[in-house]
This record gives sequence, structure tokens and C-alpha cells, in this order.
Amino acid sequence: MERISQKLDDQLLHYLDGILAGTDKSDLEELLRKDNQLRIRLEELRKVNQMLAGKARLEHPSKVFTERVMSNLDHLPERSTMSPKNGLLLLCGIMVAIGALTLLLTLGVFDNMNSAISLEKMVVKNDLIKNPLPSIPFNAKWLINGILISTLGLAFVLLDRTVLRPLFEKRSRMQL
Amino acid sequence: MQLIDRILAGERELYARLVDTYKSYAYTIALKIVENKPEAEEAAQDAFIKAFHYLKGFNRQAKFSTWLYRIVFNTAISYKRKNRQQFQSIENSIVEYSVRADSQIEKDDKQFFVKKAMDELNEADKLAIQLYYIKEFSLEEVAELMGQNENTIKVRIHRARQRLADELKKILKEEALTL
Repeated sequence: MERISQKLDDQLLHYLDGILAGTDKSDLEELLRKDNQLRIRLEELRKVNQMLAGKARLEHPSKVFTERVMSNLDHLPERSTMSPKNGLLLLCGIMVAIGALTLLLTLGVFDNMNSAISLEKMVVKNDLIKNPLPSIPFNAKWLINGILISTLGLAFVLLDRTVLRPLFEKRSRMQL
Repeated sequence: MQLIDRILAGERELYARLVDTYKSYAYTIALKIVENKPEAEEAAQDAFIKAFHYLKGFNRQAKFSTWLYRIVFNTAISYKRKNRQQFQSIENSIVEYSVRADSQIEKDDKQFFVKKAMDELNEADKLAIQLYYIKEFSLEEVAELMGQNENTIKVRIHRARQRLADELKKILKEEALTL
């Protein structure tokens, strides 16, 4: 079975829509007289048109629709996300904080802030504790690194929620 | 426009007139997107509430209907995304066992096959073609509410019809084989 070309298929739809005129129209009609396959395709497209037209109608909401809208006029539906402007401002703030911390880290400000939290020095009145209590090493650099990593995570989430997601949603809406 | 001015001036009860005029259009758009009646009703209502709050920002050079439809479109898209997992339509899955006239069976079968073929189209083509065939919506309105130009919509509708014809042929062939 020979496949109908895209051009001919397009012409069949234009013919059905009544926008094919002049020699294009007469040429197609001539082809339709000769080609059974083309006539079948025209019928298929005509049926699709009829089915779509038969299915298409304006739908009506419930009788209380207007009443519900009017009674809820003051309740603006909540926005699910932060506005892109506020999100970007917050993101800028976080980036500045990350930059400042990174700068302080590279300058070695936290290098000498090492100490140990000695539990031995704590006054615990407990006779059951016989062994000496350990001391927990504390390194300010590790703490700052931890803060930096969690802030970077937060920045990424914010970027996703306020910039990337709305952007992709907008793009998919454009495709939609 | 005078009506909008009066609403903005404080006669908010007049907004009911706008809602009454456009509710069926808004509901139809929402229904074609979310494909669920209760959800479409909720989305359309939210859209009207949003429109009321944004009314001040409405550009008077534009058509109110197109502006409103765009809000409905965006609201319905958000609903569809948000409720895709949680709001499964049971309405569409209800099977009615009743005695129907032959013509009704034939009509239902036709609708069933069209729906099945429609499901093979991508969301955008499906929406464009459904709204285009509703005579109350112009091509210009369909294009504006979908945020695309008229030519793109024309091409979408054109291709969708061809695809539908192909899909229907395929479905009917499969149905015939299973008989």
C-alpha cells in the first residue's frame, strides 16, 4: 500500500476546511477521482472532523459556581512558591554569606581555632563514673565547612524552587 | 470596561456578572486541561478569584476574556501538576451497565475510540484541537491562552488531526483483530 505524501495529506485537510482553491483544488479533485487510496484517506480525515465537532461543546459548571466565587473573593489562593524576585534576593544573600565564609577559610582565619572540650573539667557529681572522661576535639574549620556545605545545599534548593522550577514550568507551558 | 471600572471603584458585587458571563468558558478550558469535573470547577473558581485580585493590573488595551482565559489556563496547569498523583479521577472509570439503544451504543463507542486516539496525542496538541473545535473559542483566543502564536496553533491542529486519523485507523484495526 502506497503511503500518501505529507503534502497531499495537508492538501486533503485544506480541502476539507474549504481553504483549497483554484488549480490546487481542481488538481486534487482530479487526483481523488483516480486514486482510491486518497479517497479513503479523505474519508478518514472527514470522520475525524465530524467526531471532533460532535464532541466539542461548551461545558457548564455547577449552579453554585458564581456564588462560591463571590463568597471566596477575599481568599486569594495561596502561591505555592516564593516569588522569583524574593527568591533571587535571598539566593544573593546566601551566596554573599558563602563567599565571605570561603574567603575567611582561605585566609586561614579558622586554622588556629582548635581546642578540645574536656569533659573531665565538668563538675559531675556521680560516684559511678570511675574512669577519666574523654575530651572531644573541636575544630572551627570543620564546623565552618559543615555550615558551608549545608548552606550550599540550601542555596541549591532555593535556586531550584525559585528560578529553575518556574523556568522549566514556563517552558513546558510554552510547549503545552 | 465600564463594569471593570465600577468593580475597581468598590462595587465588587458586580463581579458576579463577569463570573456569570465567562464561567462556562473558564470551566471548559479547565476541564480540558485537568480532565476531572470537580477539579476543573475548583481550578476555574480559583482563577476567577485570582483575576479579581489582579484586576487592577489588567491592561485595558487587551481583551478581558483572553486575559482571564490565560489565568484559567495557568491555574489549571498548576492544578494538574499538583494533583496529578493525589486526585485520580474515578469519574472516568465508572462503567455503567445499563440497557442502551443501539444508536447510543454506537455513539458511545465512537466517543470511546476518539478518546483513546486523543490520549495518544501530546498534551498541547490535545488541548489545542479540543478548544479549536468548540465554536465559542476563536483560533486567536486558543493561541493567546496557550501563549503561542496562531500559526503554531494552526500547525498543531493540522498535525493533530492527521495523527488522530492514523491513531483511529490503528485502534479500529486492533479492535477488529480482537473480535
